[in-house]
Amino acid sequence: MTSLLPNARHIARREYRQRTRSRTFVIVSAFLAVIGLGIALFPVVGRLIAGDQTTTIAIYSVDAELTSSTALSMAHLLNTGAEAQYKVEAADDAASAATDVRSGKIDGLLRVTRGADGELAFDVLTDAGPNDQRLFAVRQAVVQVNIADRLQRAGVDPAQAGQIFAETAWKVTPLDPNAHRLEENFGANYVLAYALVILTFMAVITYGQWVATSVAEEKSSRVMELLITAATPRQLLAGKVIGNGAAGLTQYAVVVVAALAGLLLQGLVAQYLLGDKAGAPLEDVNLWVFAPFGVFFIGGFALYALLYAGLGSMASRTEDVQQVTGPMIFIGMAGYFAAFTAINIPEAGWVKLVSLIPFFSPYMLPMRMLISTVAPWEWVVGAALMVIFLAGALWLAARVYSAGVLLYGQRASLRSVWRAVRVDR
Amino acid sequence: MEQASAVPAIATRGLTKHYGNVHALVDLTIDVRAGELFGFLGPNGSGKSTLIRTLLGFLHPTHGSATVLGLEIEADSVEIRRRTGYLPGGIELYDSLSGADALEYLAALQDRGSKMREELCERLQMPVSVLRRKVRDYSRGMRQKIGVIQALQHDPELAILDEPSEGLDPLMQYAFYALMDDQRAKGRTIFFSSHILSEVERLCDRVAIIRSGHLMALQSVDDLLARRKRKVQLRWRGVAPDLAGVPGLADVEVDGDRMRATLLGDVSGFVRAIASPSLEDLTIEPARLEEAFLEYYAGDEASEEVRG
Repeated sequence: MTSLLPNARHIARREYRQRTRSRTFVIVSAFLAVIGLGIALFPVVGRLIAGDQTTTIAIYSVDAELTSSTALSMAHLLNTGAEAQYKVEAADDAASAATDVRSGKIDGLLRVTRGADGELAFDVLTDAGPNDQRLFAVRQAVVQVNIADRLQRAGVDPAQAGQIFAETAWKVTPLDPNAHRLEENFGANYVLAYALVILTFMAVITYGQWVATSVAEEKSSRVMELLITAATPRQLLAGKVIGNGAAGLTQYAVVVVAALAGLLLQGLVAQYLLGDKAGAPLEDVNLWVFAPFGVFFIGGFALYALLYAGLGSMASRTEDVQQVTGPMIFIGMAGYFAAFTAINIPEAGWVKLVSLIPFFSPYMLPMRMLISTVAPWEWVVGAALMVIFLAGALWLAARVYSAGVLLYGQRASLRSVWRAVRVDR
Repeated sequence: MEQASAVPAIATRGLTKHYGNVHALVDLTIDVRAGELFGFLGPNGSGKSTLIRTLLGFLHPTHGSATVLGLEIEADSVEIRRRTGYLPGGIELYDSLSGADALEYLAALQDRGSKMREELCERLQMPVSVLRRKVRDYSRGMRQKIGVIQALQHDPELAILDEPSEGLDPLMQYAFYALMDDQRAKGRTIFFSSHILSEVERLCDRVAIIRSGHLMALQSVDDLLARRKRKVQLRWRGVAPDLAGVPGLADVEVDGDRMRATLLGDVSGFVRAIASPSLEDLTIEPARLEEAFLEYYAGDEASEEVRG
């Protein structure tokens, strides 16, 4: 193994330079960076398109005093949260207010009339659908206003009325205090888990394919014949995996940096576009996940890439590479689907078992860490299995590779490859 | 020329390689002595490249064995490749590297130094300005030169070259031949395959001729040439004398004052026989390997299969 490193380094460096200097690489990376940036800024853009967040309601009554008092009460009742979501104003003229609703300047007009029996009646003019949440909120507020009015007409003392409307004691006692702890952060961690699974899958498929194509190209162009005198198959394999992996990581880094920049600038951009601090900051996400994720991502990629290289050497022309590497896509997708199934049942027995298998662990262990828990021994076992599988894959891939690259022009039948693999080279 | 060592540079014993029903090499037994220039002649598809690949460990023989520099080809192929220089037939390099980078890359991977690189680049006319350009801009000849340079840049004790002068223009071919002479003078061994007869004639000490995987002949070039029938033409003043008794002379045709015949073997007997004042003109064609070669390929091998 001591002679593995220097040559693998030369080979990796050449491979890396060739990948990153190609025009395609630069264009695709730039393109993906723009997309990453766009996705990061999407929430802001979405809000921009959706328009103003606040709901404006005008109150009108023939009785001016009723108008202003209702407006005050409604404003108080509706804006219970930290942000003022409702803007309530008193309207002077019903007709102009109605025109405003139609033109979209305000979201609704609440007309208050007092009947002959003293009862208040409320009529909302709006284009909001009957299931609009805001209508429910307005209705609840209106009910409160009405009850307060009835109490007043019934002669209840304002102080007593205040007591009647005081806070209601309300408490939820959970069966298991920890059970729904993570659902509180539901959004962020789940989203990140999904994102990591998708990222891993795409990286493995795309950059693994690079490795296979590179191997097939060298074979079909017969550069291989000279190289194989200069370096051993293991060195060539290691160099290819490392070089292409590094190039792939570089592309990823470019995209991730662009996306992160977008996230960080979200606040600024929102302020600029929407005129208020409407950004949702990076919520409480378990950022520690990136440590094991990095380790398993690299390990998993290396594992897949080695097998890609072995398969790539069995193709006799670059056109055949897609065909020959088909099985890898199946394995990758199996991991992908396993992760997506498991994301809803992270505690299940089979999930825990499968997440230790090296082909699946890069997908499933980080995901489980984000939405559930992973015991220390599971990390150790997962990592140990990964190392063992990597060593095995390197051995196997080196054999297949050294057999495959020399089977010039012959379609590598499984039998001839098997025979070649058994011979030590 | 000294024998550098008693260990043959290459020795094969009954080397056989089958690809299914195709017999690429059949029971090949040759040896290449240290310090000689050994040529390997054969038509396309005769097994030249297969032999070279087998010697370097890319292919495993079906039967038989071989050693290179005293090392077994099956067990020690890594060490063999480390110590030999190899030029594959139809060399391919990375298009995206410059010539200099390609040489440097291969030298670094093989970790063997490149002491002869500058001299080779100069003799094969590959200046820095050309070496700076990327291989994808090279002509066929330039790539071939890179191939030769990478095979020899570390001054290996044994160089295995598969059709080395292919693609080289005549001037560069001469430069290459001069290189080969110098390598031999230094005691290095060169084993190369070719289908250019004049080249083998010019360079080699010994030559093996292979056809359809079988060894047809293994002789020194001198011996091969000595056995050739040469055409002779004579013009006499007056009537041609009778030369029936001259040793080696045959197929005599007389046409007035001109005489044509074939001469085999020793020239001096013939020259003594024709030394006469009535001889006006004499042409003795130089022996050409071509005829020997063609004889083996025309199927007349039965009488000529001699091991040298």
